[in-house]
Amino acid sequence: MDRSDIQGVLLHGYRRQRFARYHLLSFGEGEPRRALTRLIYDISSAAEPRAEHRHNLAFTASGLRALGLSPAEMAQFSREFLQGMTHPERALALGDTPLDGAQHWDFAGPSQPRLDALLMSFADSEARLNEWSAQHERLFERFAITWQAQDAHRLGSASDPRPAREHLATRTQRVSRGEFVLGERDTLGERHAGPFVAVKFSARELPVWSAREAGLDFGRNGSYLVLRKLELNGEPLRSVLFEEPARSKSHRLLRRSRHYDGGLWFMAFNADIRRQFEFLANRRLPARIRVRGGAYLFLPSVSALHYLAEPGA
Amino acid sequence: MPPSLQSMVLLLTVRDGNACRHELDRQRTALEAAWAQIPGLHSACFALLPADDPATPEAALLFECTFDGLLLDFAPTLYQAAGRAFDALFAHTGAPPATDAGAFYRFLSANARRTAAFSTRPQVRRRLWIALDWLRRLAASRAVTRGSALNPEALEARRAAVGMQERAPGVPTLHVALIAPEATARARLKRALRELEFGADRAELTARFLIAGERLVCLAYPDEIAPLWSERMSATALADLSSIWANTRGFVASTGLRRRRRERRLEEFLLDYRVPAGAWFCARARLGNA
Repeated sequence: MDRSDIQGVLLHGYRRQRFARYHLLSFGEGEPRRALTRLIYDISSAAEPRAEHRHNLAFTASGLRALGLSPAEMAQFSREFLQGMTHPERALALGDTPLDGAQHWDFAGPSQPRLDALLMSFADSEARLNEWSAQHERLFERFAITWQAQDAHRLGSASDPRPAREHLATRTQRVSRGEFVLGERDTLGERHAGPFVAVKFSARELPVWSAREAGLDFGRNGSYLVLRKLELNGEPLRSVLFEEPARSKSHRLLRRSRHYDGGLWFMAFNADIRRQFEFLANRRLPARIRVRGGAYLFLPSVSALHYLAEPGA
Repeated sequence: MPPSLQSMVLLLTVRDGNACRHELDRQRTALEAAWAQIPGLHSACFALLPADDPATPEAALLFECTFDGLLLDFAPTLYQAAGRAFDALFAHTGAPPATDAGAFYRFLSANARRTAAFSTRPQVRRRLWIALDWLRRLAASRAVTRGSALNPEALEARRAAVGMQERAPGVPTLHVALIAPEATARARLKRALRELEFGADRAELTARFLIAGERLVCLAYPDEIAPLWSERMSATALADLSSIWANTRGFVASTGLRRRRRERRLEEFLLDYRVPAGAWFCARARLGNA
């Protein structure tokens, strides 16, 4: 496994970075590719040594389209990702009630700007987080990208300095990396290849070339990211635990959830949204818990980010 | 199946699939409300099987119901509760409207088809037959793929239609696939279905199969949502179901793969080759919800 090609948040919980800020980006009429060209140097890979701050970037289907992936390339992504969480079919699959409908969401709903990308920033102090956020926001302003910033903090109390045991963490059974990292072997020993994209000329490191598919393996070392903002309204955290069937290892999620005041940013990685996240999430949440936003995103590998930042095929 | 419990399936060719679909949408509430009032009705379902392949150029209307007693006694009750809705739907198949309960009974009994009930109860003879069949196939080839799958547009249309269907225990899962073009596929399929009937007493709890022209149809009223049911059935009845679906297009039966891989192949096939029910009723699901 090439850890330097995998974005850090996929393999690390960033326990030392207690403070987090999620920038929900809308590309609109802006210049996302030029912004990405500069942002890419701040992105943390899983191979980097410990640092005070980390940044990772994921895209929705509309974001990848805006960055130049063709319809044929987009069609290779999973059906659930392409539809997005606001699609009525997905709402049914997730068991959302009308009160959880996208019209009530704080972001990514029909009345909000379209969500194209998510920049996740993590830092060990609020001051450092503010400093980096200000820098990134100046970049977004320069390239006419609009954003909404939402804060989160690591699960566990502020008075307890020990790393909290995440309530939503995957059980300690061994699970194959392929369940979370595309291109790695999954529980059944199979590798999920693709999506494949056209070649670009670049001096930078691009995704691995696949001779069989005559394209670059854009998906390799990437993952699908599920984001749900849940308002708990006094419900305990364990009530949003998605039960995992004991007999099967094929419905596992890699969770990276964080708190916000009054709720939870549920965040999970998986290789197959239908088989993993939607399988586990298909049950009604307790009545008091409300969904306040959500999206299906794709967390590309570092080389795939370089590919997206390149100007053209 | 207890002697008092009867199951009936009708599968009728439809002249205009879109018009029939709209009619089914219009009649759904009336049908479901009427079915809920009928004593002795265990399950009922209307579904439109799509014409999504050149081998099946015409859509078909499927009606299934499981009830207590004889059809002769049950048909008048059914006609009284929802006769108009039935007439409106069957009109799309070219059937004349039933003038009374007697005509309705005659129409049902003339068009009712035989189904192969399916049970997951272990049967020594069936297990032995399946094992021998697998060994035969293993000797012939490692991976068995029969015919081409649905084209991507047809598959997407099915996924979209099923995706918008309510997800709850008791909602019927209806699997439809085309029988493989090989001359021996149909005979093998019939033999596999006959083998299933050894354990037919639990049919209502599991599933039933029907061969209709080029189609193989499987209908079940599972006690859990479709993804859970597909996973459970793939795990508990892998050999049984594989021996059946291996004779249809789109299903890849690879004998050389590990069991878990074959289970996942079957699970994905069961999820993808579904069509939605237009109207349905399941007494067990109602009791569960209550």
